[in-house]
Amino acid sequence: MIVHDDPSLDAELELLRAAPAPRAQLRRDLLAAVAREPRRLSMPQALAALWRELGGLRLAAPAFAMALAVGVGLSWLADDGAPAGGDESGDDLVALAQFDDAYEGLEP
Amino acid sequence: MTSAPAAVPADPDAALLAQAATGDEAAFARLVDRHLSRLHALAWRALGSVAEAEEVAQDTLLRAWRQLPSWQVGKALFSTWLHRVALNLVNDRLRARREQVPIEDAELVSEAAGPDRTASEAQRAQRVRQALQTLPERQRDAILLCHFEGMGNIEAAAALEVSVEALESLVSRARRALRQSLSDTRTDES
Repeated sequence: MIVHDDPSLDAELELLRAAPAPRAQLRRDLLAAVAREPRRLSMPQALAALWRELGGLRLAAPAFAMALAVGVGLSWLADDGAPAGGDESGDDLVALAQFDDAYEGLEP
Repeated sequence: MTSAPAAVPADPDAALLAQAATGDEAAFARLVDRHLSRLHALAWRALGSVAEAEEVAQDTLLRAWRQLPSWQVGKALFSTWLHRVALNLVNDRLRARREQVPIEDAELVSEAAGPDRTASEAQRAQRVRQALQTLPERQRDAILLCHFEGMGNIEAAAALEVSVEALESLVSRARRALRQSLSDTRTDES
């Protein structure tokens, strides 16, 4: 703390010490202006806000879990029904191209 | 002249800032309750006008609200940042006034007197304010923060973005200039 030994100057400065209190209306006006302001959120805050809007853990999490389970289940069923070695024809074509220099099927 | 960044102490507003940054208006209202009076008083002391002090306080806190989403915890105390913004707004207004009308020619305004003042006290207070307004900006800022806001040297230096030594020099020069200016006024009047 800076110490200055000048009581008369301090006494004069003290004349400005007692300031008027802000009006209650100022607080109300300020908070009303804040409520009117469009919010600018950072990406994590925007994602958090979206998560809350979607219902958070109570609503969104079960819905996402259900969607994930359905997706995995359908993909498992689709794999189960598909013919084994579905891309073997592609291997055949590569083998054929390597075997036969004159084959033009894979050229761009 | 800037100092090496000093370690910023824990911000007593940190929890409310985190809540307000997510758009929580109730948390921001509590921050307003904590800081509005001080910002208003700071601006009133420098400007001498209640209306302008209200505008400065409101503008400062609105800027804070807009800034909150990108607020970096630990970089500065919220109160320090608010004071810096308020002082800049005050200085802008004083500069604009000076271009319009010399401070010495400005008429005494009754609202500049402050609460419960006699006429003679009000006049003396106005003389002090005029002396304050004629100081160079940095010196005035230093006096406002150190004398009236009761800030410690480290916090005031952080608010003005100068070293503690530079702050001490600003305060000393400001007090010397004020003493001179006020004694000149007294001589003129006698």
